[in-house]
This record gives sequence, structure tokens and C-alpha cells, in this order.
Amino acid sequence: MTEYSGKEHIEAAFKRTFTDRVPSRIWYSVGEGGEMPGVSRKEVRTQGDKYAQYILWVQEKVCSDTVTVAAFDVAMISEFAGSELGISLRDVIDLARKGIPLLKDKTLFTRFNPSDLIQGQRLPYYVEACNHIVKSSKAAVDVIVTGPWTVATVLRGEVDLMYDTKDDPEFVHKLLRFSTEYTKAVGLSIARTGVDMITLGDPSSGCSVVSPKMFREWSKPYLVEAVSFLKEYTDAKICLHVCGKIDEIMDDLITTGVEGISIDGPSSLEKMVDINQGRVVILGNIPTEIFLEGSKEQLEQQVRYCIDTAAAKSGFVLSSGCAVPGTEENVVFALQYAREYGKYK
Amino acid sequence: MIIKEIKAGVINGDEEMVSDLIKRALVEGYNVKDILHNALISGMTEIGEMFQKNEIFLPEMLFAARTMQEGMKALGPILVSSKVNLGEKIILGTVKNDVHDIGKNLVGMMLKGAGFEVVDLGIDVSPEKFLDAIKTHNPVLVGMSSLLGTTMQYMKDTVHAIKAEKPTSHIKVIVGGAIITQEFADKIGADGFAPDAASAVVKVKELLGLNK
Repeated sequence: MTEYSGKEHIEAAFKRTFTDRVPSRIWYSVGEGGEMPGVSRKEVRTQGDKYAQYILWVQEKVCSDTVTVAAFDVAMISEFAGSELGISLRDVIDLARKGIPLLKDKTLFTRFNPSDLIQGQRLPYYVEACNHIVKSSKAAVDVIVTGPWTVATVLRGEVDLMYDTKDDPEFVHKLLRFSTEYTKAVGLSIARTGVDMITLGDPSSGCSVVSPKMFREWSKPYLVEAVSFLKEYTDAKICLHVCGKIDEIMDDLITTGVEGISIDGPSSLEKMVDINQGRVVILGNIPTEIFLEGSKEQLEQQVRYCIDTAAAKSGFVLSSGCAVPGTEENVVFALQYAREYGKYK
Repeated sequence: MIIKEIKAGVINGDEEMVSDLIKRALVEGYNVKDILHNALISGMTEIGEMFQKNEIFLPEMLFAARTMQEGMKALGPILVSSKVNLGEKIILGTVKNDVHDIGKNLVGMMLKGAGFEVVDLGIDVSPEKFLDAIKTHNPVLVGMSSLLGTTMQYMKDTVHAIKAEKPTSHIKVIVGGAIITQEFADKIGADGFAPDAASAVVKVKELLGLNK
């Protein structure tokens, strides 16, 4: 029997062909995989080679078909916006706080300089990590890059940005032009390392936050631009992840031009399959909370539900709905069960 | 008539119109409580019901809530001098390591709209900060939110910290956030869960025995 690599399983989903089982992956990112012997958390968060070592160490334990590099980094957004850079998680969160008030005064926006990103610390950190991971990984390498609307919400604040759409639409367009350049620049730099997938992570674009009307008017046009750019200039598969509920905008998301859509636990996989009709690869959607508080039976039930609902015609990757907070034991268990239950008959 | 117009203004998120109408209503001698309850709070209640029926989304709720706040400002000084009771005190916060606050802010606005006094601790609130705030403010209920899968564990830690022992164990706790479910709320020992801001107000009243 042929032994397929994780990368080959994922490639099959995008080619709409079959290996010996349904591809499966769990987003299990830094901070969730335990302490790696000999490498400190600080090193993992600040040195690209150590981050790569950590990701590959976790991957060895869980055997997912993708390794996920979460370049969803408020510090990187802050760098793009010209802020000072911290290194610890604590600092990163503080930066998010500091980043938002930057645009309490809209005139400060004119001080932003996109070259700060290239000359900064965070993008080179992710590029270095991806270079290492691509060389060593037999699993597909998937990198999460923040989408334009969410970058804008990080800088301006979700609520203020929504108010701005009514009070000062011209400013919102300027900000979104800026944040789209961020998404394109980060996506391009990372895709050039040879990663297999770039997933635009746009958690604030879902209907748990914005309305379908607001998504269509403000988020989608810029997403389309970023997707089109990345498809033109890179070989990576361009995917999209929007947190929470997306049922009302599923067709809108499909028509952004992406090749895959990762859907979160609260959204309907059944509806997505029905609307999609094979146009994009669907990745989803075991609810993340089950990894934290659920039983083994619940995990099994969710794996069966997702595979039975979406895997019949290829073009599907069983996945956690979002980044997983749970124990390594549950992640390993879910993936083992998925490999067994997902065998093609 | 003017009460109905103010209410419609709240629902449509038209701040300017609501402020102007309230000023006019006060000049014309309308009762402050009438404006507050039958126009502003009633408008927010109606938009909350529309939200629960999926007829509108968060932005429409936010614009309505902002309009309500503007209306409250227009009523402000008279509201204080009329001694309209703003009710029980509630503490809100987004849990540790989570910086998302849109849902939590909306819950705060809705609770204020329903007459509660709200102390908002902001984002990234550790269990210790929640406990300190409880000591300081002596609330009847604590509400917390989490948007990220990776911060749900801190919601659990916070609920456990509050419920672990006296003098905080009697305080009602309600949780919410895009990925939080009733099942998760039950498992971590929260008293209540609400899927959205409008439901949060109903649940809070239920937990405090304030429903009719």
C-alpha cells in the first residue's frame, strides 16, 4: 500500500482526486503544544529557526496533514503601523492596545510607513520560520495571514471602524487601502518561501461581527484584491478563514476567488457543501470547544459528521473550526480517529 | 407621537434626530421616565428582538445602541435630578489574553439601556482582576466574553475563581462570545449563557429574578 505524505493528502483535495483517506488537520499553534525541551517560549516567539523547530516538534507528535504557521500577529500589524515592537505575548497584547489608540486620532494615520514592515522584526521572523519548515515538512505548510478588514479593525478598533463606515467612509477606504497592502506584502513575502497554502484569516469579517451588507460593501472588495494579487504572484493555494457564523455570506466568500474556505464551528457545513457545489475546497469544522471540554465520544461524533457531510466528492479537508485550545491528547485522538474513519472504501 | 418618533430614531440609529426630538419633547413637557422607558429602552428592546430573529446584525445594533446613548446624554441632567433608578450593578470584561470587545461592549450598552449600572473592566481581564473588581464594586452579576478558542480556558479559570469560595461564590456569572455554547457554559459552572446581546439582557434579568 502507498504511504502518502500529508502534503499529498492536501494536494489531492485541491486537485479533487483521492488518496487512501480523507485529508485531516487540526490548527494547533504555538502556545498550545506544550514546552519543548531545550527551547524557551521566548526563543520560540522571537527566533524564526526556533519557531520552526517548535512547529515541527509539535507536528511530529500530532501528525496533522498540515502544519499551521499562525502569522496572525498584532505586533506585525503594529510594526506596519510604525509602532514600537515588543516580544512577549504580554507585550504583543499591550501592543494591540497601543495600536488601537494610534488611530483614535485619524491624522496619525498619515505617519504610517509600509516599509516599517519589511525592515521590522516580525515579518523576517515568519519568513525565516517558513524557510526552515518548508525544507523539513512532509505535511503541507499553511500560513495564516491577516485579511484587510481585520487588520483595519486591529488598528482602529472593531466598534470605531463600524461607526466610521457611517461617519467617515472616506477614512475607512483609505485605511482599507493601507491594510490591503499589508495583507499583500505579508502574503507575498511568506508565499515566496514555498509554502503550500496561504490562508487569509479575517475573523472580523464574519456575520458574528459585521452584517452581510457591510461585508459586501467594505470587506469583500479588498479581500478580492488581495486574493487576486496573491494568486497572480505566488504558487501557494490561497484560502480564507472567517471566524464564527458565515452562513449568510457563504457565496460571497466563495466568489472572492479563493481556492479553499475554512469554516468555523458555528457555521453550517451542510449549507456550505450545498452552496459550494465543488467550487472551492472546504476545510472544517469540528467545533474548537470540543477539544477543550468535550469527550472522546463527542470528538468521534464530530469527525464522523464532518466526513459524512462533506467528504464524498474530494475537495474536503477535515479540520478544526478554528485554532484549537484543547489538550494535545484530544488533538492526537481526533486525528487518529479521522485517519481511521476517513479511509476511502 | 413624539415618543414613537424617538423610538423609531433609536431603531434606525439616527442620533441627530433622536437628540433633537428629545430636546423638543422636554420643552413640550414630556415625562423623563416616559421618554426613557417608552422611547429609548423600548426602541432597544425592539431592535434586540429583531436581532434575535436574525432580521438585523451587529452593526445595526451598535448604531441603535450609540443612538440610545446619545439620547441618554440628552436626558442626562434631568435623568439625575429626576432620580430615575439605574438599578443593580453588573461587572463586564473580556477574559485574559483576549482583546475582542465588540460583543461585550454591546452587552454593556444593552444592559445600561435596560437600566442596570455597568462597570466595564475592558479587555484582557485576568481572573485576579475580576476578583479585585468584585471586591471594589460589589456587583450582583459578572459577565464575561471570549472570542478566541485559545482564551476559553481563561473563561473557565475566571468562573472557577469566582465560584470557588465565599465571598464571591454567590455572585451570578453569565458568559458569551462567538464560540461559546450553553454546553460549555454548563461545563465550566457559569450560571447563564447568552448567544447575543439582546438575549444577555433577558438572561441577566432571569438570573436576578427580575423578569415579569
